[in-house]
Amino acid sequence: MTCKRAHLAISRFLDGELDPTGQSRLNRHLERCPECSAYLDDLRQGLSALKALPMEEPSANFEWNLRRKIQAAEAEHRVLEKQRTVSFWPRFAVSAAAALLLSLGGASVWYASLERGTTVPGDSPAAPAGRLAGGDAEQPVIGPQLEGRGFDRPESGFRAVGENKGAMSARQHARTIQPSDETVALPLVKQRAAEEAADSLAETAPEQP
Amino acid sequence: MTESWMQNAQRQAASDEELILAVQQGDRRAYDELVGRFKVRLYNFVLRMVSDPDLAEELTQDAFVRAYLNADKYRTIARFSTWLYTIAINLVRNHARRKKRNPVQRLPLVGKDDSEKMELEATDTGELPDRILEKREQSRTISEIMGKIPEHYREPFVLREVHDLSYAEIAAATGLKLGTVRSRINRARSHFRSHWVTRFANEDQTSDGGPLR
Repeated sequence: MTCKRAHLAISRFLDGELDPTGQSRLNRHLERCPECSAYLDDLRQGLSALKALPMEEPSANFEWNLRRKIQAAEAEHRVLEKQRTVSFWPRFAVSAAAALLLSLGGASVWYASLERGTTVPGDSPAAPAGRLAGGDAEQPVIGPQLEGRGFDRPESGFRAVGENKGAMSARQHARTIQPSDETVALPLVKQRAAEEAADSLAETAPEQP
Repeated sequence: MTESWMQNAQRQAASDEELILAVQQGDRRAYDELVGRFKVRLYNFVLRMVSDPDLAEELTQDAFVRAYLNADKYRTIARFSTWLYTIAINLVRNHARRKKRNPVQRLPLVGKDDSEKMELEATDTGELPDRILEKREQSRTISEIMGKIPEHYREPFVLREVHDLSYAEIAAATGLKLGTVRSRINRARSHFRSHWVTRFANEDQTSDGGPLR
Protein backbone atom coordinates (compact mmCIF):
# COMPACT_ATOMS: atom_id res chain seq x y z
CA MET A 1 0.00 0.00 0.00
CA THR A 2 1.33 3.44 -0.93
CA CYS A 3 1.15 6.38 1.49
CA LYS A 4 -1.43 8.10 -0.73
CA ARG A 5 -3.68 5.04 -0.57
CA ALA A 6 -3.02 4.81 3.14
CA HIS A 7 -4.31 8.38 3.60
CA LEU A 8 -7.50 7.48 1.75
CA ALA A 9 -7.84 4.36 3.88
CA ILE A 10 -7.28 6.45 7.03
CA SER A 11 -10.08 8.76 5.94
CA ARG A 12 -12.39 5.77 5.46
CA PHE A 13 -11.25 4.34 8.76
CA LEU A 14 -12.13 7.59 10.57
CA ASP A 15 -15.57 7.44 8.97
CA GLY A 16 -15.98 3.82 10.12
CA GLU A 17 -16.28 2.70 6.51
CA LEU A 18 -13.17 0.58 6.15
CA ASP A 19 -13.86 -3.14 5.75
CA PRO A 20 -11.81 -5.69 7.76
CA THR A 21 -9.54 -6.51 4.80
CA GLY A 22 -8.76 -2.83 4.25
CA GLN A 23 -8.22 -2.36 7.92
CA SER A 24 -5.64 -5.15 8.16
CA ARG A 25 -3.85 -3.77 5.09
CA LEU A 26 -3.79 -0.32 6.65
CA ASN A 27 -2.48 -1.75 9.93
CA ARG A 28 0.36 -3.49 8.09
CA HIS A 29 1.25 -0.22 6.35
CA LEU A 30 1.11 1.80 9.58
CA GLU A 31 3.46 -0.66 11.30
CA ARG A 32 6.06 -0.02 8.62
CA CYS A 33 5.40 3.71 7.97
CA PRO A 34 5.97 6.16 10.85
CA GLU A 35 4.82 9.14 8.71
CA CYS A 36 1.39 7.66 8.04
CA SER A 37 1.17 6.55 11.63
CA ALA A 38 1.86 10.13 12.77
CA TYR A 39 -0.64 11.37 10.15
CA LEU A 40 -3.38 9.24 11.72
CA ASP A 41 -2.49 10.33 15.27
CA ASP A 42 -2.43 14.05 14.38
CA LEU A 43 -5.64 13.81 12.46
CA ARG A 44 -7.46 11.98 15.24
CA GLN A 45 -6.28 14.51 17.76
CA GLY A 46 -7.07 17.57 15.63
CA LEU A 47 -10.51 16.31 14.63
CA SER A 48 -11.47 15.45 18.18
CA ALA A 49 -10.44 18.99 19.23
CA LEU A 50 -12.57 20.37 16.40
CA LYS A 51 -15.57 18.28 17.39
CA ALA A 52 -15.15 19.27 21.03
CA LEU A 53 -15.39 22.99 20.24
CA PRO A 54 -18.51 24.45 21.80
CA MET A 55 -21.07 25.78 19.36
CA GLU A 56 -21.19 29.55 19.20
CA GLU A 57 -24.54 31.14 20.02
CA PRO A 58 -25.96 33.76 17.69
CA SER A 59 -26.87 37.11 19.25
CA ALA A 60 -29.81 37.37 21.65
CA ASN A 61 -31.96 39.32 19.19
CA PHE A 62 -31.41 36.79 16.39
CA GLU A 63 -35.02 35.58 16.34
CA TRP A 64 -36.50 39.05 16.71
CA ASN A 65 -34.44 40.28 13.75
CA LEU A 66 -35.38 37.19 11.79
CA ARG A 67 -39.09 37.77 12.42
CA ARG A 68 -38.72 41.36 11.20
CA LYS A 69 -36.89 40.20 8.08
CA ILE A 70 -39.58 37.62 7.35
CA GLN A 71 -42.32 40.24 7.76
CA ALA A 72 -40.49 42.65 5.43
CA ALA A 73 -39.89 39.90 2.87
CA GLU A 74 -43.54 38.83 3.01
CA ALA A 75 -44.72 42.41 2.52
CA GLU A 76 -42.37 42.84 -0.43
CA HIS A 77 -43.53 39.53 -1.84
CA ARG A 78 -47.19 40.60 -1.59
CA VAL A 79 -46.48 43.93 -3.32
CA LEU A 80 -44.61 42.20 -6.13
CA GLU A 81 -47.41 39.67 -6.58
CA LYS A 82 -49.95 42.48 -6.72
CA GLN A 83 -47.90 44.44 -9.23
CA ARG A 84 -47.49 41.35 -11.32
CA THR A 85 -51.24 40.66 -11.55
CA VAL A 86 -52.34 44.31 -11.86
CA SER A 87 -49.83 45.33 -14.47
CA PHE A 88 -50.21 42.22 -16.62
CA TRP A 89 -52.95 43.53 -18.96
CA PRO A 90 -51.49 47.02 -19.63
CA ARG A 91 -48.12 45.45 -20.25
CA PHE A 92 -49.68 42.86 -22.52
CA ALA A 93 -51.48 45.61 -24.51
CA VAL A 94 -48.30 47.67 -24.89
CA SER A 95 -46.33 44.61 -25.97
CA ALA A 96 -48.99 43.63 -28.50
CA ALA A 97 -49.11 47.18 -29.92
CA ALA A 98 -45.31 47.26 -30.16
CA ALA A 99 -45.28 43.90 -31.94
CA LEU A 100 -47.95 45.09 -34.38
CA LEU A 101 -46.06 48.33 -35.14
CA LEU A 102 -42.84 46.42 -35.64
CA SER A 103 -44.43 43.96 -38.04
CA LEU A 104 -46.11 46.80 -39.96
CA GLY A 105 -42.82 48.67 -40.18
CA GLY A 106 -41.04 45.53 -41.31
CA ALA A 107 -43.66 44.86 -43.95
CA SER A 108 -43.46 48.41 -45.32
CA VAL A 109 -39.65 48.27 -45.48
CA TRP A 110 -39.86 44.94 -47.27
CA TYR A 111 -42.44 46.31 -49.71
CA ALA A 112 -40.31 49.41 -50.39
CA SER A 113 -37.23 47.30 -51.06
CA LEU A 114 -39.29 45.11 -53.36
CA GLU A 115 -40.38 48.15 -55.35
CA ARG A 116 -36.82 49.48 -55.55
CA GLY A 117 -35.67 46.07 -56.75
CA THR A 118 -38.03 46.15 -59.77
CA THR A 119 -37.00 49.65 -60.90
CA VAL A 120 -33.24 49.10 -60.79
CA PRO A 121 -33.05 46.93 -63.98
CA GLY A 122 -35.10 49.47 -65.91
CA ASP A 123 -32.75 52.30 -64.92
CA SER A 124 -29.58 50.44 -65.65
CA PRO A 125 -28.59 50.32 -69.31
CA ALA A 126 -28.02 46.73 -70.23
CA ALA A 127 -28.57 47.30 -73.91
CA PRO A 128 -25.14 48.66 -74.85
CA ALA A 129 -23.59 45.51 -73.49
CA GLY A 130 -25.92 43.56 -75.69
CA ARG A 131 -25.12 45.65 -78.76
CA LEU A 132 -21.41 45.42 -78.27
CA ALA A 133 -21.68 41.73 -77.96
CA GLY A 134 -23.12 41.80 -81.45
CA GLY A 135 -26.66 41.02 -80.49
CA ASP A 136 -29.82 42.30 -82.04
CA ALA A 137 -31.24 45.46 -80.55
CA GLU A 138 -34.50 43.64 -80.03
CA GLN A 139 -32.78 40.59 -78.58
CA PRO A 140 -29.95 42.00 -76.53
CA VAL A 141 -27.25 39.60 -75.44
CA ILE A 142 -26.86 39.79 -71.73
CA GLY A 143 -23.51 39.62 -70.08
CA PRO A 144 -23.25 36.60 -67.80
CA GLN A 145 -22.86 38.79 -64.76
CA LEU A 146 -26.24 40.39 -65.42
CA GLU A 147 -28.19 37.28 -66.26
CA GLY A 148 -31.02 36.40 -63.98
CA ARG A 149 -30.99 39.78 -62.26
CA GLY A 150 -33.76 41.33 -64.28
CA PHE A 151 -31.34 42.72 -66.91
CA ASP A 152 -32.46 40.13 -69.41
CA ARG A 153 -35.83 41.83 -69.88
CA PRO A 154 -36.14 43.32 -73.34
CA GLU A 155 -37.50 46.66 -72.10
CA SER A 156 -34.45 47.25 -69.90
CA GLY A 157 -32.27 47.18 -73.02
CA PHE A 158 -34.47 49.43 -75.11
CA ARG A 159 -34.37 52.27 -72.67
CA ALA A 160 -30.60 52.67 -72.73
CA VAL A 161 -29.76 52.05 -76.39
CA GLY A 162 -27.34 54.59 -77.77
CA GLU A 163 -27.15 56.45 -74.50
CA ASN A 164 -24.02 56.79 -72.52
CA LYS A 165 -25.99 58.88 -70.07
CA GLY A 166 -27.40 55.76 -68.57
CA ALA A 167 -23.95 54.44 -67.70
CA MET A 168 -22.88 57.74 -66.25
CA SER A 169 -26.01 58.22 -64.30
CA ALA A 170 -25.75 54.73 -62.89
CA ARG A 171 -22.21 55.38 -61.77
CA GLN A 172 -23.14 58.73 -60.38
CA HIS A 173 -26.07 57.13 -58.70
CA ALA A 174 -23.78 54.54 -57.20
CA ARG A 175 -21.48 57.26 -55.94
CA THR A 176 -24.25 59.38 -54.53
CA ILE A 177 -25.43 56.52 -52.43
CA GLN A 178 -21.96 55.88 -51.08
CA PRO A 179 -21.92 56.65 -47.39
CA SER A 180 -20.32 60.08 -47.29
CA ASP A 181 -21.69 60.25 -43.78
CA GLU A 182 -22.74 57.47 -41.48
CA THR A 183 -26.07 56.91 -43.18
CA VAL A 184 -26.12 53.94 -45.50
CA ALA A 185 -28.95 53.83 -48.03
CA LEU A 186 -28.34 50.31 -49.31
CA PRO A 187 -26.53 47.38 -47.90
CA LEU A 188 -22.87 47.29 -48.87
CA VAL A 189 -23.30 44.28 -51.15
CA LYS A 190 -25.96 46.03 -53.21
CA GLN A 191 -23.82 49.14 -53.47
CA ARG A 192 -20.87 47.13 -54.73
CA ALA A 193 -23.03 45.31 -57.27
CA ALA A 194 -24.41 48.61 -58.51
CA GLU A 195 -20.93 50.10 -58.75
CA GLU A 196 -19.56 47.04 -60.55
CA ALA A 197 -22.46 47.08 -63.01
CA ALA A 198 -21.98 50.79 -63.64
CA ASP A 199 -18.22 50.39 -64.11
CA SER A 200 -18.49 47.50 -66.53
CA LEU A 201 -21.11 49.38 -68.45
CA ALA A 202 -18.93 52.47 -68.62
CA GLU A 203 -16.03 50.42 -69.99
CA THR A 204 -18.05 48.72 -72.68
CA ALA A 205 -20.31 51.62 -73.70
CA PRO A 206 -19.45 53.44 -76.98
CA GLU A 207 -17.94 56.89 -76.75
CA GLN A 208 -20.37 59.71 -77.35
CA PRO A 209 -19.63 61.59 -80.50
CA MET B 1 -55.49 29.55 14.93
CA THR B 2 -56.93 26.84 12.67
CA GLU B 3 -57.72 23.46 14.13
CA SER B 4 -55.29 21.72 11.77
CA TRP B 5 -52.44 23.64 13.33
CA MET B 6 -50.34 21.93 15.95
CA GLN B 7 -50.42 22.54 19.64
CA ASN B 8 -47.19 23.47 21.41
CA ALA B 9 -46.56 19.96 22.75
CA GLN B 10 -47.22 18.46 19.33
CA ARG B 11 -44.77 20.84 17.76
CA GLN B 12 -42.04 19.90 20.16
CA ALA B 13 -42.60 16.21 19.50
CA ALA B 14 -42.95 16.58 15.73
CA SER B 15 -40.17 15.74 13.32
CA ASP B 16 -38.56 18.53 11.27
CA GLU B 17 -40.37 17.27 8.19
CA GLU B 18 -43.76 17.30 9.94
CA LEU B 19 -43.09 20.85 11.07
CA ILE B 20 -42.24 22.17 7.63
CA LEU B 21 -45.38 20.49 6.27
CA ALA B 22 -47.32 22.34 8.98
CA VAL B 23 -45.62 25.57 7.81
CA GLN B 24 -46.88 24.81 4.32
CA GLN B 25 -50.39 24.75 5.83
CA GLY B 26 -49.78 28.22 7.27
CA ASP B 27 -48.64 27.29 10.79
CA ARG B 28 -46.17 30.03 11.57
CA ARG B 29 -45.39 28.77 15.05
CA ALA B 30 -44.16 25.53 13.53
CA TYR B 31 -41.54 27.60 11.78
CA ASP B 32 -40.51 29.20 15.07
CA GLU B 33 -39.94 25.69 16.39
CA LEU B 34 -37.75 24.86 13.36
CA VAL B 35 -35.76 28.06 13.81
CA GLY B 36 -35.24 27.16 17.46
CA ARG B 37 -33.96 23.73 16.48
CA PHE B 38 -31.60 24.83 13.72
CA LYS B 39 -30.44 28.37 14.44
CA VAL B 40 -27.31 27.38 16.40
CA ARG B 41 -26.29 24.59 14.00
CA LEU B 42 -26.85 26.67 10.90
CA TYR B 43 -25.20 29.74 12.40
CA ASN B 44 -22.11 27.70 13.34
CA PHE B 45 -21.90 26.17 9.88
CA VAL B 46 -22.06 29.61 8.24
CA LEU B 47 -19.64 31.02 10.83
CA ARG B 48 -17.09 28.32 9.96
CA MET B 49 -17.48 29.25 6.31
CA VAL B 50 -17.28 33.06 6.55
CA SER B 51 -15.34 33.57 9.83
CA ASP B 52 -17.28 36.73 10.68
CA PRO B 53 -19.95 36.56 13.42
CA ASP B 54 -22.10 39.44 12.16
CA LEU B 55 -22.00 38.31 8.56
CA ALA B 56 -22.69 34.73 9.65
CA GLU B 57 -25.76 35.90 11.55
CA GLU B 58 -26.99 37.90 8.59
CA LEU B 59 -26.55 35.00 6.17
CA THR B 60 -28.15 32.55 8.60
CA GLN B 61 -31.18 34.81 8.92
CA ASP B 62 -31.35 35.14 5.14
CA ALA B 63 -31.31 31.35 4.86
CA PHE B 64 -34.24 31.09 7.27
CA VAL B 65 -36.14 33.82 5.41
CA ARG B 66 -35.65 32.00 2.11
CA ALA B 67 -36.66 28.70 3.60
CA TYR B 68 -39.83 30.28 4.98
CA LEU B 69 -40.78 32.03 1.76
CA ASN B 70 -40.12 28.87 -0.24
CA ALA B 71 -41.59 26.44 2.27
CA ASP B 72 -44.18 25.33 -0.30
CA LYS B 73 -41.34 24.15 -2.55
CA TYR B 74 -40.06 21.72 0.06
CA ARG B 75 -40.74 18.09 -0.88
CA THR B 76 -40.46 15.22 1.57
CA ILE B 77 -37.94 13.40 -0.65
CA ALA B 78 -35.13 15.21 1.23
CA ARG B 79 -34.63 15.79 4.91
CA PHE B 80 -35.49 19.28 6.05
CA SER B 81 -31.99 19.76 7.48
CA THR B 82 -30.40 18.89 4.12
CA TRP B 83 -32.73 21.32 2.35
CA LEU B 84 -31.93 24.08 4.85
CA TYR B 85 -28.19 23.48 4.55
CA THR B 86 -28.53 23.66 0.75
CA ILE B 87 -30.10 27.11 1.05
CA ALA B 88 -27.37 28.27 3.43
CA ILE B 89 -24.63 26.83 1.19
CA ASN B 90 -26.02 28.71 -1.81
CA LEU B 91 -26.08 31.96 0.15
CA VAL B 92 -22.51 31.44 1.36
CA ARG B 93 -21.36 30.64 -2.18
CA ASN B 94 -23.14 33.73 -3.56
CA HIS B 95 -21.50 35.84 -0.89
CA ALA B 96 -18.06 34.40 -1.75
CA ARG B 97 -18.65 35.15 -5.44
CA ARG B 98 -19.70 38.74 -4.68
CA LYS B 99 -16.68 39.13 -2.43
CA LYS B 100 -14.38 37.94 -5.21
CA ARG B 101 -15.90 40.40 -7.68
CA ASN B 102 -15.94 43.28 -5.21
CA PRO B 103 -13.26 42.65 -2.60
CA VAL B 104 -14.27 45.16 0.07
CA GLN B 105 -12.66 44.27 3.37
CA ARG B 106 -15.04 43.98 6.29
CA LEU B 107 -13.68 44.92 9.64
CA PRO B 108 -13.39 41.91 11.91
CA LEU B 109 -16.41 42.20 14.11
CA VAL B 110 -16.58 40.70 17.54
CA GLY B 111 -19.85 40.49 19.38
CA LYS B 112 -18.44 40.72 22.86
CA ASP B 113 -15.10 41.65 24.24
CA ASP B 114 -13.07 38.51 25.00
CA SER B 115 -12.39 39.46 28.61
CA GLU B 116 -16.07 40.20 29.20
CA LYS B 117 -16.98 36.87 27.62
CA MET B 118 -14.43 35.08 29.81
CA GLU B 119 -15.88 36.62 32.95
CA LEU B 120 -19.36 35.54 31.95
CA GLU B 121 -18.18 32.01 31.21
CA ALA B 122 -16.26 31.83 34.48
CA THR B 123 -19.34 32.74 36.48
CA ASP B 124 -21.48 30.36 34.39
CA THR B 125 -19.30 27.26 34.56
CA GLY B 126 -17.15 27.82 37.61
CA GLU B 127 -14.04 27.04 35.55
CA LEU B 128 -10.74 28.73 36.23
CA PRO B 129 -9.93 31.72 34.02
CA ASP B 130 -6.68 30.01 32.91
CA ARG B 131 -8.55 26.99 31.66
CA ILE B 132 -11.09 29.22 29.90
CA LEU B 133 -8.28 31.20 28.34
CA GLU B 134 -6.66 27.99 27.13
CA LYS B 135 -9.94 26.80 25.62
CA ARG B 136 -10.53 30.12 23.91
CA GLU B 137 -7.02 30.06 22.54
CA GLN B 138 -7.52 26.59 21.13
CA SER B 139 -10.86 27.62 19.68
CA ARG B 140 -9.22 30.59 17.98
CA THR B 141 -6.41 28.42 16.66
CA ILE B 142 -8.84 25.91 15.20
CA SER B 143 -10.86 28.72 13.62
CA GLU B 144 -7.69 30.04 12.02
CA ILE B 145 -6.79 26.59 10.74
CA MET B 146 -10.28 26.16 9.32
CA GLY B 147 -9.94 29.50 7.56
CA LYS B 148 -6.83 28.21 5.80
CA ILE B 149 -8.60 25.23 4.24
CA PRO B 150 -9.77 26.13 0.72
CA GLU B 151 -13.50 26.93 0.67
CA HIS B 152 -14.54 24.12 -1.65
CA TYR B 153 -12.87 21.58 0.65
CA ARG B 154 -14.01 23.27 3.84
CA GLU B 155 -17.70 23.13 2.94
CA PRO B 156 -18.10 19.30 2.98
CA PHE B 157 -15.46 19.00 5.70
CA VAL B 158 -17.42 21.18 8.16
CA LEU B 159 -20.67 19.39 7.33
CA ARG B 160 -18.98 16.07 8.03
CA GLU B 161 -16.79 16.84 11.04
CA VAL B 162 -18.80 19.49 12.85
CA HIS B 163 -22.37 18.71 11.82
CA ASP B 164 -22.09 14.93 11.45
CA LEU B 165 -23.89 14.78 8.12
CA SER B 166 -23.52 11.55 6.18
CA TYR B 167 -21.70 11.51 2.86
CA ALA B 168 -25.00 11.09 1.03
CA GLU B 169 -26.53 14.06 2.86
CA ILE B 170 -23.48 16.20 2.09
CA ALA B 171 -23.72 15.21 -1.57
CA ALA B 172 -27.41 16.17 -1.59
CA ALA B 173 -26.83 19.47 0.23
CA THR B 174 -23.84 20.58 -1.83
CA GLY B 175 -24.94 19.20 -5.19
CA LEU B 176 -21.65 17.31 -5.51
CA LYS B 177 -21.16 13.70 -6.50
CA LEU B 178 -20.54 11.22 -3.71
CA GLY B 179 -17.00 10.50 -4.97
CA THR B 180 -16.22 14.23 -5.08
CA VAL B 181 -17.48 14.67 -1.53
CA ARG B 182 -15.29 11.78 -0.38
CA SER B 183 -12.18 13.10 -2.08
CA ARG B 184 -12.76 16.70 -0.93
CA ILE B 185 -13.19 15.61 2.66
CA ASN B 186 -10.02 13.56 2.40
CA ARG B 187 -8.12 16.56 1.02
CA ALA B 188 -9.60 18.87 3.64
CA ARG B 189 -8.47 16.47 6.36
CA SER B 190 -5.00 16.48 4.89
CA HIS B 191 -4.96 20.31 4.86
CA PHE B 192 -6.34 20.45 8.37
CA ARG B 193 -3.74 18.02 9.67
CA SER B 194 -0.81 19.83 8.07
CA HIS B 195 -1.93 23.23 9.46
CA TRP B 196 -2.61 21.65 12.83
CA VAL B 197 0.86 20.13 13.00
CA THR B 198 2.53 23.32 11.71
CA ARG B 199 0.68 25.42 14.23
CA PHE B 200 1.53 23.26 17.21
CA ALA B 201 5.05 22.58 16.01
CA ASN B 202 5.57 26.38 16.05
CA GLU B 203 4.10 26.56 19.52
CA ASP B 204 6.46 23.77 20.60
CA GLN B 205 9.39 25.96 19.62
CA THR B 206 8.06 29.00 21.51
CA SER B 207 6.71 27.19 24.57
CA ASP B 208 6.89 23.79 26.17
CA GLY B 209 3.26 22.99 25.46
CA GLY B 210 2.42 20.84 22.45
CA PRO B 211 -0.78 19.62 20.93
CA LEU B 212 -2.99 17.94 23.45
CA ARG B 213 -2.50 14.21 23.04
